[in-house]
Amino acid sequence: MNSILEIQHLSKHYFINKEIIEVLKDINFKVKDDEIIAIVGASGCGKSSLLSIISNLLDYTDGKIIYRKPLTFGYMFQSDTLFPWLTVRDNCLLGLKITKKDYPSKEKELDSLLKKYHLDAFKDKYPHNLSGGMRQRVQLIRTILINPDILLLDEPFSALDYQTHLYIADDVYKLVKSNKKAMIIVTHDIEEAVSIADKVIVLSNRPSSIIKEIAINKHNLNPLQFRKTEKFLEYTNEIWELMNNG
Amino acid sequence: MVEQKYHDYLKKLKLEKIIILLSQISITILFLGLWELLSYFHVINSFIFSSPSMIIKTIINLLLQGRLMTHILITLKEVFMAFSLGIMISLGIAIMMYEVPLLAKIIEPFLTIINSLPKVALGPIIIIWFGANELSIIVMALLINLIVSVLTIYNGLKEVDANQILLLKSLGASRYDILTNLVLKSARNAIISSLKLNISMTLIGVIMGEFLVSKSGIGYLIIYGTQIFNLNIVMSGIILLCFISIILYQLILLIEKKQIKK
Ligand SMILES: Nc1ncnc2c1ncn2[C@@H]1O[C@H](COP(=O)(O)OP(=O)(O)O)[C@@H](O)[C@H]1O
Ligand SMILES: [Mg+2]
Repeated sequence: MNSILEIQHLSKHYFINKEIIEVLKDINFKVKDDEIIAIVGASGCGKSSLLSIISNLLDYTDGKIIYRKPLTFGYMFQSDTLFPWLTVRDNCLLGLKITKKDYPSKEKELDSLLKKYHLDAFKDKYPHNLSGGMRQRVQLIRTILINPDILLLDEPFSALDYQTHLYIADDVYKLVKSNKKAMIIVTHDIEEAVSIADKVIVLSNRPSSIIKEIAINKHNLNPLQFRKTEKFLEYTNEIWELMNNG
Repeated sequence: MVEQKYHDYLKKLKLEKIIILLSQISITILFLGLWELLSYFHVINSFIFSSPSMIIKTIINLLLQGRLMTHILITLKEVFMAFSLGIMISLGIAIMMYEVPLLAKIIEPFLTIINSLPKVALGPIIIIWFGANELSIIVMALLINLIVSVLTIYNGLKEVDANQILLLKSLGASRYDILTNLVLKSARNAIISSLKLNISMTLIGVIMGEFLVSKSGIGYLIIYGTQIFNLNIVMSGIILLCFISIILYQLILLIEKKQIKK
């Protein structure tokens, strides 16, 4: 399988007045066409910066990113980026509007997603009427609807309650796999990473470099099923150890 | 139980509204009544202070003579022109400053200095440059309403959430997309505030201009009244101005309500 993008010797520094903060140091990895990659690391290690760099929103200091073709990104930010003056429905359709994809044809898909994520009763409400978890789901729908080449999700389930979290992560997994798309998910939740990813990249503390890349073999189980296996525990323990010692 | 409490709560809100409104009406009536009485019993000199009944009489007389409506319409026309020009120009400048931050950094101190200048002082020069005509009145009003509007709108545009901009960029949005879909929408409160400021500033500017040009409009009427020492005309002009200013302000509030509903 081809890689859709490849990161080589990437480093990133922030300059604040007289201070230089080294955030990322010699990062190398590839993302295959239909691969789900999870990046785990402590808070402040540079995970969000890495996603912004990959999506061309942020400059980096040194190194190289090779894209196989001009990619479309579905980037779900860690912070709340809903527009308060748009209804839930219009917020969901914002990505399509901007990318100029025709959205009448997507109405059906939108309705089914809203229903699946328990938002159909809030379709015409404004973001301030929604809980944090609901707002996060709206952002997820907005990101999914544009059907990008690669999904970049930055802690996408952090505001969800445990049950909803497991259910929606499972659903996103199935969606990405059935569309044969690539996805990078950033999280500090080791279990979430192991359950959803084909490959987990473990970052050290700042300045972050890759401690280890771990291929997760799920034997075709989806995340909810995989969570119940021995193997799942072994992987999470391994990563836990790595992060504690890194 | 809950319904009873909720009912009480609503009742309390309503009561407060009524009390406020009644007090405001009583204060107005008391003020006008006292004014009328004091001048009726010659406690104050009605020749200098006029009185509510004389003002009403004067307004009716002026209306019957047929020239008052022309003055009102002229003032309204000037206000409308200076107001819409002011909004368009200040929106344009503010957007330019937002889009070219370097430009903003360069001109911001100049704007602040010009803003703190008492513009009345420029009145005579404006008359010399542009002539004793409507143009000078509009320029005078623009001078007063522009800078404040520019600064208010510009500060509103700057408040836009940086992450929301990044979101649009990640979708491949152009600068124009970002401006129309995000920046102007997120600054709509500042834009409405600038409308409110603008309408009162414009009225001040127009009246000042009419004082100086002295040809027509309510400002002229007031000056004319002073010159022939007819204080009834002066007071009538001021009262008319009050009404015009209230009506214009209410119009802006109407626009605001419509915007917020969206
Ligand atoms: N715009 C910025 N300017 C300066 N420092 C920043 C900026 N953004 C992030 N940082 C710093 O870089 C480090 C990594 O941030 P971030 O990528 O958000 O980490 P993570 O997502 O892993 O929590 C943090 O220490 C943060 O304080
Ligand atoms: Mg982060």
